[in-house]
Amino acid sequence: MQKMIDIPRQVLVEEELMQPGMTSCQGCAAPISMKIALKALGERTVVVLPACCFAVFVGGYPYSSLKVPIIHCPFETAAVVASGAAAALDVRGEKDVVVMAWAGDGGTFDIGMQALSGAAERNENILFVCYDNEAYMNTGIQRSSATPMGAWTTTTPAGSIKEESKKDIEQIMLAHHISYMATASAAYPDDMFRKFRKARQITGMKFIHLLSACPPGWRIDPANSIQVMRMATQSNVFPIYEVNKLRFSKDNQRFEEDWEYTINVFPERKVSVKGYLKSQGRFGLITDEMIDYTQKKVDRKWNELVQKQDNTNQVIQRQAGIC
Amino acid sequence: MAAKKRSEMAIKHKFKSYRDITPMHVSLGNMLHNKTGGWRFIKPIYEDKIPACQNACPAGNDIEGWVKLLNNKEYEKAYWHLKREEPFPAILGRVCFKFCEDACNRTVLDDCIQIKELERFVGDQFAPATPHPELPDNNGQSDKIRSLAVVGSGPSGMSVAYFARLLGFRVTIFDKEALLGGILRLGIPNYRLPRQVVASEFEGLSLMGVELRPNTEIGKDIPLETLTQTFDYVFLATGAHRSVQMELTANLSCCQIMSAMNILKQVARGETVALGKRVAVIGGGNTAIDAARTAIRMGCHVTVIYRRSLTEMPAHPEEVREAQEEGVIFRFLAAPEDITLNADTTIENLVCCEMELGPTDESGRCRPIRKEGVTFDVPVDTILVAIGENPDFDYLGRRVRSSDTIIRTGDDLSILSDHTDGEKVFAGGDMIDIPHTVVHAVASGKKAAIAMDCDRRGVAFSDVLNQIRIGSGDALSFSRYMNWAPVNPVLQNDQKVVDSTKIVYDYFIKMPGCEKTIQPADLRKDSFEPYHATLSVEEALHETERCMHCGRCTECDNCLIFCPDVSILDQTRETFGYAIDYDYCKGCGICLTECPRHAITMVAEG
Repeated sequence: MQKMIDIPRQVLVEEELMQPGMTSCQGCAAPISMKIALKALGERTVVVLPACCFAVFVGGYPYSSLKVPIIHCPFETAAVVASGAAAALDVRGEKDVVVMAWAGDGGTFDIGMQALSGAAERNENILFVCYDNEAYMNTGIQRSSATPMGAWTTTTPAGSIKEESKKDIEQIMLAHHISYMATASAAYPDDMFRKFRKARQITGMKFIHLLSACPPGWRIDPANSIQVMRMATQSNVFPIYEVNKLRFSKDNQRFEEDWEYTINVFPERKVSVKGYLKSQGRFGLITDEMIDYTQKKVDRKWNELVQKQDNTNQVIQRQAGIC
Repeated sequence: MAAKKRSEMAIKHKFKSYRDITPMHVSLGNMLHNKTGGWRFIKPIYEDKIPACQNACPAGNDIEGWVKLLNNKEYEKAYWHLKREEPFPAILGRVCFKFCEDACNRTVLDDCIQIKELERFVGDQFAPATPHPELPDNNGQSDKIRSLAVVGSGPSGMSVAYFARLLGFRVTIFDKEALLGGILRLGIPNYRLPRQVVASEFEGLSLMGVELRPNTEIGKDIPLETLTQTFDYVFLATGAHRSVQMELTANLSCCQIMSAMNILKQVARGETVALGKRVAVIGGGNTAIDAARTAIRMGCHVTVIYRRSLTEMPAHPEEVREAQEEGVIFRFLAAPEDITLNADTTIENLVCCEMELGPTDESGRCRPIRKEGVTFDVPVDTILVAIGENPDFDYLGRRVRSSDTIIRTGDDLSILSDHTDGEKVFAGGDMIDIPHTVVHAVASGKKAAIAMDCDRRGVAFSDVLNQIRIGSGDALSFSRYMNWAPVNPVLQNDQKVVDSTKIVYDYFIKMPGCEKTIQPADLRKDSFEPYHATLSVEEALHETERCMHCGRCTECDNCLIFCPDVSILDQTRETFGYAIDYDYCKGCGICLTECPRHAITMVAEG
């Protein structure tokens, strides 16, 4: 029996908000993610695009492959332009329009960081999506702070592959006390669809971290991009979970805040971290020590996640007076 | 005028008036002019392939097809679809060696689909009470009708009669026995294959217009020459019934050394059989196991003596296990060396020699080697010999050489002989050089029927063969020969086999099969009645739910969801499957790698 991808058929067959003709590379996962995101958000959406692969292949002005409005903006300003658009829509009273900033890892982890941090702190009513292909792919595969340890890029070439770990953007965003944080992957489209639908309902800053395979930059066969992304989750390198902000009052006096962690995908078929890394050409030069280190780090992060989810359950039960 | 146009445009784009239109430069241009299809060097096409189960079936049974129909609860359609390739589901659902289940791709995940049980379910649900819906109407073209005489009513004879009838032949089956069915009726005991099941399949054949002539022995009641003169085609299917003699017993005159096959036949005919208290069965094939379990049911203490080990045994492992449960003792790696007789020609003792396995021989199994001097005694009253059966060629005259142990046939199963005199004589089943299983016999019948039809139409069989061969083996598809529509109306590729390496197991959920309801050994060992129930409707539907539909599109929408270029177009279920927009498909191949069942093929452009 097949595990069906649980997206309502009604939604699948209705008019697509993304049109073909984009110049994305063969096998790029970003259009798949955008397609699912727009299916979930609907046509009352504004997309803010800083400099990134997507801004290039969606079609430069005056062309666009999306049937929703796009604002092209400078690299570092995605979050702040989105904040402005959201404020303007608020003034016009168009409460049902969601503003989605759609930035790559450069526009999130590095160059877009200050604007993002500011918007997150102000808890602006925007949805910030980072489609993370783990390097500056658009300009020809340069290292970013999202590039994982051991990866080859043109600025970490053979002989000096990247030795630093990937920046933990999820914890950074949670440190801003935003309303909703989730990770998702196009390899699990129904989970992604549900998260975008959910984010649309939440007021305040929403952050969704998407893994997005890049066949030329990851040195993989275009046909395998979804498969490799699935392996990232199966090996726990990219765990799929979501974090809600819980607000509850004790005796109607004191407010407490807590994080509600939910792990959405518990991989049934486990893949080793080594198996995931070795499936990509960019890790062809990785050393065994780096693999061991990554495996340990991944295991630790996973255990912490499971621990946090257990804590959440305990907190919820305590609040409900169960224990 | 311009203002009017602008306000029309404003309303079209959901603004209240043109003043609401943003003063920024807004473009509505799209990228559809950029036909990215030009990037492509390989393109995807939807193409149904041969699942591993169908590839493993010697008869080329379209298992996935009828399992899908069954899953849709279209029981009657499933029955007739199954009968397209494999005419006797109630019989093969009980006695088949189930090559399909060994090949099932689901074994990687949990356990194979119980295809044999499902086939039995389909066969039992619908006894053939109505004539075949695809039976040709012969009225008005009688000059083109050819006649076929089938000698022997075993599985290959039944099969050739069925398929030839569907091809419009006038068919008569001759059998020397009063009970029709050959090995199915006389060789296989009632507890494995009840006699009513065989009888009802013959009712089905007569409903199709096949003439049945039991009690007619060719070569005795009617000479073979009469058949070859009166009928356009003759099909020989008299099987292998002459037991091979042991050298050891050749010179012994002892009524307690018997042929296992003869015992099975006597029991099937209802004759009284006198077996001693302690029975030894020599051999490791299905006849040996059937004889051993028959003897157990007659209250004997049974030992099976086989010269190789369990893994080399030709009998089906499941049969061996059930025989062991019923109390049959197996002595592996042992061969009879000497038999001592009492003065009254009863058996005093059977002396066996221990064996060990040597290097592999031409059959691919380890050759047993005698351990000199290591012997043991088996006290027995009766010895049943089941070391093989050979065909009986007496009635064939000079068509066979005296040295032949099988009939030599050409590719089209017509017999190769120095003295055919233009007769159109074909042969199948255990008489020719194929494995001795029921399903191989059925497959040979199908092949011969198609070969005769080709001969009738004046078409070269070798040309047709390449068009109707399915999978990587020798199986032929009758549906392809008849141009019957497949279950999925999409392109069919009969050469590509979908094995477990091509299945994306991430998309399948573990789901154990239903437990078989088998009577416990101490209850079943006293009775010749069947001990194993047909699946219930719920169990059958549970099993069909487990089928992964390898190589066949099920409209699961995976390709639709994952296409990065929005180039898989849904047809909202008006017609089957999806369309591909080749103007924009870049040929990335994600649809293929994410297809759970490999129903897409990438083909080179240009």
